[in-house]
Amino acid sequence: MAEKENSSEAPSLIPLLPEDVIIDILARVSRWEYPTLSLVSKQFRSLVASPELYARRSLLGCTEHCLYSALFEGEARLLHWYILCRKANGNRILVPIRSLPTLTFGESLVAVGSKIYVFGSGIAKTSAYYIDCRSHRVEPLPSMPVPISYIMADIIDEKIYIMGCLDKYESVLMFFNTKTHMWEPEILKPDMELRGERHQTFCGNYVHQSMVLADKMYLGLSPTRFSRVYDPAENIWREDDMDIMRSIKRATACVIDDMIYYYPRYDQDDDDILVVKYIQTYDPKRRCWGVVKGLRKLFSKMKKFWCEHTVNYGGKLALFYCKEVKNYRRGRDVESKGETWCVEISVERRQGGEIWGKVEWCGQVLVADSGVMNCLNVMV
Amino acid sequence: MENEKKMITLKSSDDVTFEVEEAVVLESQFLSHLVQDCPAPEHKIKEVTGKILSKVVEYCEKHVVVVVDGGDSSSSSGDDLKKWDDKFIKEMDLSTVYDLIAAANYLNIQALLDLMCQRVADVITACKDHKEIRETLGIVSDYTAEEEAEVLKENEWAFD
Repeated sequence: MAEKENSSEAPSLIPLLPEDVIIDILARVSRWEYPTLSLVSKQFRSLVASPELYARRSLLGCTEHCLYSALFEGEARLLHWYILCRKANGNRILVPIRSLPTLTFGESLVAVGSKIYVFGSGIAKTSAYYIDCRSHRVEPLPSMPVPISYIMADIIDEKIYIMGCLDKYESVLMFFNTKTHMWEPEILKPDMELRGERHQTFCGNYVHQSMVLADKMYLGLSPTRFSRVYDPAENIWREDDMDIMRSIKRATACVIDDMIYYYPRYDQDDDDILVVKYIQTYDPKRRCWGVVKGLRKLFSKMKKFWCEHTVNYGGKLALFYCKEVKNYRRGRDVESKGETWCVEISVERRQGGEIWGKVEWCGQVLVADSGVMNCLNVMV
Repeated sequence: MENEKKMITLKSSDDVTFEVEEAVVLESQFLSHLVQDCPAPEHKIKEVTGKILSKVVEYCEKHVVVVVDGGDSSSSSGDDLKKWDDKFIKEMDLSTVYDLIAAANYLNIQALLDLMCQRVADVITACKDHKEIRETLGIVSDYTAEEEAEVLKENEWAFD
């Protein structure tokens, strides 16, 4: 008898609340519910699209991890932005964001909180800007102090470290302050620091891969393939006695809780890809290599796919897979429809140091002739 | 040891009175200012009914900052408080939640407002679709069928 008591007793009360309070309520709802919310009423629709709502989510600490992926499409040399979204039925899907500028292969990206910083854009490759992922607005940043190529950018403690090459492969390191949005006047030339080492000097190499581990920047160098470590706290460059970056061999890698996870590549000297049936780890504290256990079923399911990208997705390991397409990079032999899949794995360190993975979700996220070039974890 | 505690009387819109300690009143920014600016023993709160004010008082009495002589009662009381909050909101129908949101907003009791907003957010999350959200929250759609189809199309990736 009293079943419908609430709904009949309280009609249209929510619209009577001050808008500020409604924003407060909606900010606490997962953003994956926002498509549903926008169907409720015009007010809800306009609120879930408003910058105020996203600002409130930050203020309340209700932000969620969200993956922004840069995908190349077909033969074009441009990268397009996609968001990995969660559907109402719990499945994931890559949704394109056409309002964001396309990227080129030479640009370097760093995610900091709700922003994505982009370095090395424009004709001169010295432009920089950031994307505010709360509003999808693009804001210009001061140009890079010097033009560089082979840009690698990483964030350590509110400062972005941008490494690259001047002419003649002379490496430089620049610093961008994410608080002031200014470049620091200092530009380091690390080859000076490395003279006299037994290996080739830094000069003549360029950084092909970089990674932040325990607040230090690990750099993989080409063509020598040596690893270098930069410790910003002490401004020291040194060799990496474990040669981590050399072992990773350009594989797609990410860091979760100061532990490296990567999908090994078959051969270090070319881009041939072999279907690998494990995810490798490196634990810098114990200085040991390992593999993630408990994923045998996943790899037998994904044996016709190859992994394009790994990313730390809010403490979980996310892998992007693609169905094997030969010579996709050369733009020929491209199959008409490729498939991109995503796998979300929670990782757990058990006693004795073993790492166990559990597949939380696995499925197709895009059907298109495309591939994941980069993927960033943003808080929105 | 008996400290004389200052008591204040709050009177609701429908003239229900509540005698509370001053510390309880201080949980509300609005009432703190009122009590400071106007040192009368009784304060009428015209915007809040007795039913809702009793809930507000119950909440504030529970949440008043307890300073024990030793000063060491904090860690377990945090968990207890959380449990108490959970029970407090679970027993409440949505119409009371709305009234409490309005009261907490008016009286400026941030923690109570947060608790109530979270409750509504949880209710929204538990709904299976937009129709259930409308029904539960008592929202009448202002979309025409065409407009709704348009919004659905914009977000079609999310539904299938």
